[in-house]
Amino acid sequence: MPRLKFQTLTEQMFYTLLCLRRECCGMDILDRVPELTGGAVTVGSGTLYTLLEQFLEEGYIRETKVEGRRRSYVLTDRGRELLDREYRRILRQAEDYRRIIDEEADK
Amino acid sequence: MKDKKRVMEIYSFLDYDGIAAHLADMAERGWLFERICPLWWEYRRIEPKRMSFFVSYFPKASEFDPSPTPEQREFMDFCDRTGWRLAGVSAQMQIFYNETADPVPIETDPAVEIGTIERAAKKSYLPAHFALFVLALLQGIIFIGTLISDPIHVLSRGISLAAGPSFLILALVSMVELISYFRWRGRARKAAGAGEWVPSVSHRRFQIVMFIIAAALFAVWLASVMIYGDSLMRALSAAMTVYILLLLAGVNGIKGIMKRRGSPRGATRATTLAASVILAFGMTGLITYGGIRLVRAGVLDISDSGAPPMTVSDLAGEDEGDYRSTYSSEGSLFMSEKKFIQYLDYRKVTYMDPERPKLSYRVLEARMPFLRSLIRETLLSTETDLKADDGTVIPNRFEPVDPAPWHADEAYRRWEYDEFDNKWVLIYGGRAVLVNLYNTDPTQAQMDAVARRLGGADF
Repeated sequence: MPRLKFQTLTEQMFYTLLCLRRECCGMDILDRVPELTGGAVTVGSGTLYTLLEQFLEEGYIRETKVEGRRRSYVLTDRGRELLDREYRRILRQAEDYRRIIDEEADK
Repeated sequence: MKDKKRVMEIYSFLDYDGIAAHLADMAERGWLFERICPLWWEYRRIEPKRMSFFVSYFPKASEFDPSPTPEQREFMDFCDRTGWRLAGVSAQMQIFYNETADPVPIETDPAVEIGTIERAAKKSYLPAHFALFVLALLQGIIFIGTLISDPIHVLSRGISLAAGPSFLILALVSMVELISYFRWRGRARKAAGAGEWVPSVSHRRFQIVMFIIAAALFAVWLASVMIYGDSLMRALSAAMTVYILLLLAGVNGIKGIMKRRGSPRGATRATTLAASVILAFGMTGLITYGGIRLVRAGVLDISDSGAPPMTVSDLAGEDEGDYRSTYSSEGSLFMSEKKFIQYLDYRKVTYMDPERPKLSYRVLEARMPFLRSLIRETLLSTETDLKADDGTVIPNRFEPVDPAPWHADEAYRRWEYDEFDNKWVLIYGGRAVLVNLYNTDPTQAQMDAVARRLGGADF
């Protein structure tokens, strides 16, 4: 069965959507993601351009402002649901990790 | 010292790693990539420095866009934010450079990049290579079929020797590109699932070897024309070579003008296509018309190979004014072929006298010793025994006869049904002659004439 697009998010997808919880110029995300993650995650300019296009197409974000070639976006409700779903998936993974580690420690 | 240079580069459209590494190397040697032209890449001189290059693909771009489009400008703004400057564009391929040390790559997510490359490839790279593969393969199959069924036709024509294998090379190159792409795509998709990258596919050495072979084939054709072609053939070959270069320059020039004027993609595409058709037909017509006018005006002299080596006048002292004839002469580095037929022209005589001589011949000359048996067998096999409806074999073959009267190494005469006729195959070293004297039983003088004029015998 083919994997659904955005069924799980890569780090770059996740942090891009996270940045767009508040209205943000697309280009500014290039600086915000490394700030947010302490340099652990960076998004390439080409990757970001493509992701914003894809998120827009899927209805996860919407365009709020156009100033010349600078476009601003914000998450839609659908986008928030996607982000929340990913957050819960990551939490479950963290919980599973914690549980296994604790079980091993108890032994 | 020159500030610009042009280099013929051979890279696959999807060899992004190879291209980036090469351009970085050129920058370290003091040459910054500027643009891709149809036949070469252009560089400009800079202070040698270490730079990073990145080959990115923009699926929405077209070769016919006035560059850059508003969407491309937006993409470039994104890249500029992280220090990537646009160096050049070719259809869906964009090349960026960055002077900072260890810059963030333009693509950082393998799955996103593969999707972009796939969409870009579907736009022009894949359709072009599919079409090229099919068309070149068809031409190649026709060439192989002709080589098998009529090897003399191929081996005696420089253009056939060059064009046929060139189509096969083109088919092979396209096939390798397509197979490499799909294999890369499979590996890349699998690796992207684990967040990993695979390098781009490069078969540069193979491409260079194919290019060298194609250049060698062109040289064979050129040598055949220069050495064995008549003045008309040389003039036509020169004209066709100039024509191809002018056609390329003209079509690309028109496309460039349209793009610089900011014409929309559709208008540029339509104008370019129309220009290619008009220029192709127009220049072909001009060359043909010009050639005819020059021959008629005597500027082009075709007599150096327009004169057949032997006519009925040489054979029997006939007035050639009463005759009609056709003559063709082809030659290559491997072989030459001359064909001639001469017969009474009913429009020029009041009575078609059956006693008046006719003449036809085919002279094959093998320039390589290993082809001698081929030309001999080709002419001997032009007559083969026939089978009647009741299964009886009707003799129709060349039988060996005494070669001495013909001053030949070997001589064969056609035996048809129950008697000899006046059709001979004569072998003179590397030359094989099939001559038909029809109703003329040759005298010794006539056999001497055939030996000298057709066989090249010296006695």
